[in-house]
Amino acid sequence: MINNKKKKKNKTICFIVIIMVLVILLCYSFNLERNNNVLENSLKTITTALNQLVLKPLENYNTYKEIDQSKSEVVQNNINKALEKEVVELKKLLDLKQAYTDYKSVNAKVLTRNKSYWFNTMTIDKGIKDGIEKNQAVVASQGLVGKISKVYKNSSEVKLITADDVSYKVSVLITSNDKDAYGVLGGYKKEDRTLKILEVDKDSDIKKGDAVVTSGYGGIFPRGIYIGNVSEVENDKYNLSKTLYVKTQIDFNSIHYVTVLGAKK
Amino acid sequence: MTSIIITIIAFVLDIIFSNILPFMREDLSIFTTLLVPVTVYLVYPLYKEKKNYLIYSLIVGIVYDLIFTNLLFIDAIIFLLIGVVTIKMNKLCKINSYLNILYIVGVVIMYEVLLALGIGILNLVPITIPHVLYKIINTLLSNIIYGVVVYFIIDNFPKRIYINK
Repeated sequence: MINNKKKKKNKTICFIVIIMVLVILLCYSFNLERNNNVLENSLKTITTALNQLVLKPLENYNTYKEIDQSKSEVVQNNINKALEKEVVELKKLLDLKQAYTDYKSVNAKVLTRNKSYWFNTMTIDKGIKDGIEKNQAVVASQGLVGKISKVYKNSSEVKLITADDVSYKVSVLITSNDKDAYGVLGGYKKEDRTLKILEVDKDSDIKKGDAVVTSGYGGIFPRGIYIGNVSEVENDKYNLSKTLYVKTQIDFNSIHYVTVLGAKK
Repeated sequence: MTSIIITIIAFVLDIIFSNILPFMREDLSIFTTLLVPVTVYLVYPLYKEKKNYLIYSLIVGIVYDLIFTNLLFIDAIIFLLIGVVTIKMNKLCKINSYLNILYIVGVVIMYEVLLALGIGILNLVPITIPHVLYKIINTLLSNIIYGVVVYFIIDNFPKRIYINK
């Protein structure tokens, strides 16, 4: 009888301990900004190699293989436009003779998309050994795709600009004829594949077709990476700011090759 | 060994489908796959020991996290829970082909709801019930087809051993 009671007590303690361990593990795993530990890095290296092996036979079906997406006309034109403007501004304001003109780029192949659905991330086949670092910009031939959110030895995780994580905001610049305006990316509308831009100055004169590029503020994305063109402008409920819808040329569901923009050359 | 082969096939199919099918929020295909979690439920009859089956569930969960989600232990814990529920379900009644479909639906719902609950409680991403339902509905079809095929194979497997017998 006493033995049974003791066994029951031990079982309850065991159960409580297991639940506590599980809760701690859950909280640790859900910390999206955590650093990867050695074990995770090593295991990820093995699973990435297996992943590449599985996808090897499918590679031949894609014609965009090994193309540097940052050399795309759409991306290059807009980077150049923004850079030219930046050069003029810098010369004018700081009297500098030179400014940066290009970034080191690394081509990468998409291995898997995040199956947990909510995070809008994907894994690419380049990592620390290829010079990839956290927060570097990722582009496709039609414009900005996202940023590097996690780096492993031979793979990295890319967080797409369509993600609406509470802590993930991208500052953008809307270049109109009159005056530039700034805003923040705030989600993706699947019906017409548009990105939503919030907190745009209500007095700004923004028209349909104006180009939207990264502003360079926040220190994550370089200034001038093309995102898309304004397709709709509307005032918010209280007429305090404007909300824009930007038509992006990227089909986020079928990205297979990307280019990571590294450090300045 | 058979369970490992079936799991590897599920992983390979999941990797291929994750590269082909749409994955954007609110823009999923009706054939969205969740083959590995369903496989964890399906291979239960191939294990003699409950302990081995639970260890298998945990390891598959960790590998799934490493390949698809980068969330470290989240799927490992969910897969372990799927394993525990599978053992209980098999104790309650003998599974036939009709109940199998019902259980596959149950596994998909359990996986999606647990994941959404975790993300929702920690407020990492805005989650709504219609979003969760949308994900579940789009994930059912291909998993039921896969589950029926694998169940048929396992059911006709000569060395099948039920733990609960």
